[in-house]
Amino acid sequence: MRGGVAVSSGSINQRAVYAAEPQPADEHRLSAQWARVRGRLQTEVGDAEYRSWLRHVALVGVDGDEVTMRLPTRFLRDWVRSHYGERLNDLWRAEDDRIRRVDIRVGAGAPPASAKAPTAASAISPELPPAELPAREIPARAAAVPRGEDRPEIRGDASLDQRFTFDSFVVGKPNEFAHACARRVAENPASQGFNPLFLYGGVGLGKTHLMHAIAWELTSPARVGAPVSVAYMSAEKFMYKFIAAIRSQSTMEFKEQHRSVDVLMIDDLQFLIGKDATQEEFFHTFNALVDAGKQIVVSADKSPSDLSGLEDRVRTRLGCGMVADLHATTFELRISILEAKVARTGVSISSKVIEYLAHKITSNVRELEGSLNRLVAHANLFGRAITLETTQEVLHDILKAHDRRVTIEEIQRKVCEHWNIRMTDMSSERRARNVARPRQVAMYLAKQLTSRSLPEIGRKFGNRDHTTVMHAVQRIGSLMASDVGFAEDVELLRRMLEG
Amino acid sequence: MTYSPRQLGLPFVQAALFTPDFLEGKSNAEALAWLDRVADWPLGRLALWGDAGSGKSHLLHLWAARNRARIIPGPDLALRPPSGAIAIDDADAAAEVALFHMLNAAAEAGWPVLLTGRAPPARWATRLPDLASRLRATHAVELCEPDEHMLRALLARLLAERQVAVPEAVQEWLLTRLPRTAGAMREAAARIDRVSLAARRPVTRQIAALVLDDDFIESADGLSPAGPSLL
Repeated sequence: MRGGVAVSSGSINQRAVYAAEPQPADEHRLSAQWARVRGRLQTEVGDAEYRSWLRHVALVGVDGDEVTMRLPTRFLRDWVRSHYGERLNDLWRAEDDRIRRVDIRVGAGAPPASAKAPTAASAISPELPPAELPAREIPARAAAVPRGEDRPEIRGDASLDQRFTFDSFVVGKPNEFAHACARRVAENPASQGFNPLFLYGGVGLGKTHLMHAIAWELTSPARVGAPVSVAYMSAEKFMYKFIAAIRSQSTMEFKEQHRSVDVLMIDDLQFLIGKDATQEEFFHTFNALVDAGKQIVVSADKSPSDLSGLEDRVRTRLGCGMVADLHATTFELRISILEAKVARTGVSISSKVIEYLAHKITSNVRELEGSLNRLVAHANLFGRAITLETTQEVLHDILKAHDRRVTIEEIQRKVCEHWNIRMTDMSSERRARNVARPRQVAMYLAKQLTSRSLPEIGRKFGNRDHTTVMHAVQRIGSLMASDVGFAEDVELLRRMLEG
Repeated sequence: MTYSPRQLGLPFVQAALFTPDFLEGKSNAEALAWLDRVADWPLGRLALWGDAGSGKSHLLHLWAARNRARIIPGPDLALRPPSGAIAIDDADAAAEVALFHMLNAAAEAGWPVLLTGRAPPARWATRLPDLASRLRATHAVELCEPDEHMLRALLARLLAERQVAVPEAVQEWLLTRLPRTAGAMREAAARIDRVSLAARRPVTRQIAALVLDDDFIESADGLSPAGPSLL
């Protein structure tokens, strides 16, 4: 089929369809008309409605006095036909008085990929619905480091995170000792007293960061001296590879591979607890390397002596070099970390927001940096400035322990307090303005903040009818639009109830 | 006595669940914007959360289809390294160690991970501290309760999927009386389907009124999961 317009139900007479015989001028005119029709419709029905129903309408073509459009599903087609059919008719007629009929059909599918030139329809169709989009390849993230020719020294399938270098590690009182030890090992591996280096501390405090930094430093092209080979992996990966080696009967290769490196780093050793065979293998690898004068760096969530579940001989050997812990962050360190990160990302964030984050997110560095990442990503995606307000909005899932479900009673109580009236006035028959208005505000807020049905809201206000609730909602809405002071009052109440 | 066989109301299999015409509105606009921009996900991860029926799984499937991601139901998650993008549905029901290693392996390999759950990951009852801190650093986007416009469209869509003809006036009548949640719309559509099958006549206001009993209000209100009810 020339033109490649896919229509699943009904066939379209190709003779006069513009798509079949594309003539640049006609095509251009048609596309301009369609754009105007869409634009008018969008203005008339509003963005929300347009996005739900009309965004997927695609123009197929014009055949004599008939315009043909398509939608991907029958449901959408029926809905658009019954709700917007007439309007579409009128709008098209306004564009071209020859048009007598607008036909809407079901037709999924963009033109086949083999189509040589874009057809009128494909050129004109608005955004395609998701299923019609070609599957996109997801680029591997930049964090992964090219392995192979550039850095032949790093082994262990380690994808070192490029962000985790010594330069990006913010030093403060809680981590300065661990940092100094890591530096020392990076400068001078396997030196007396620093082998093995055992880093421990709670989650997200920088153990992995320091290990990656050591690896980066040791394999840096700027480093002087003989090249060193570094293997870095998580304990989990070590175990996985070991089990795979047993299965494929290649344990000798596994042993050789891990015992021929200059520096072996195993992250999160606590995950070997209870895995006896892997622990055994790790112990032998460990001994072989230390005996050969090679450096070992290990991290875990506890000190060697507290790692119950590890064999005693393993614990003893782990603790015989340098043991350094990373403590929980202080407020000052959190501020420095955030400031350093903000400087790197180049976004502008006020010191008020930074202090707020440092004050609120105290658990660990991962969560602190994670929060900042989220804020920056949100600001970039939606083009919004990072203010205290957006911060609270974007991070509400971690700033608040739970999102409270507001009840109608709470709303009534708050409203009564605010205007200094009695709770009984919420359900009373009194219609004086000073009680009727607050009552309407409470109904309005009940509609906004709860998912109760309107009749149910009515019931809580002295068994009023749901039409009374609807009226209240409309009344308060229009009052808020015309009276800024009143709108602020209602917004304040809403914030208090939601907070 | 005449015997009239009753039409059996067999459960409707939602084959048409993942159609491209996902309803867009204010309540899911933010989620849709994020799903469209995988490259911008902080740490390559995103979590969608919201009440039952808010569209989490629907979006997860759409995203997975578009990004050729493997869909894994949380409870089925196992210790296996990923070979591509991953979509974990009901990730809050996954085994913690499996989820932890999956997040690490995916991050290391550079594959994006989409998670869904009833609550934001920061509030899942996570015991493994390593996992908890990763979850708390994951960007979470809420699928809010739909606005009126969306609810209207949703009810119409659900009824159409079940091929139950309900006059628009009756739908409007229902909309002003149902709890304003997506879950309530689903439950209502399911009940109307059953009632109309049993009654074997067009859905009138009287028939629609049958679905509005008290236990409906409770079950569709998010207080308890809106499961199938006896009617």
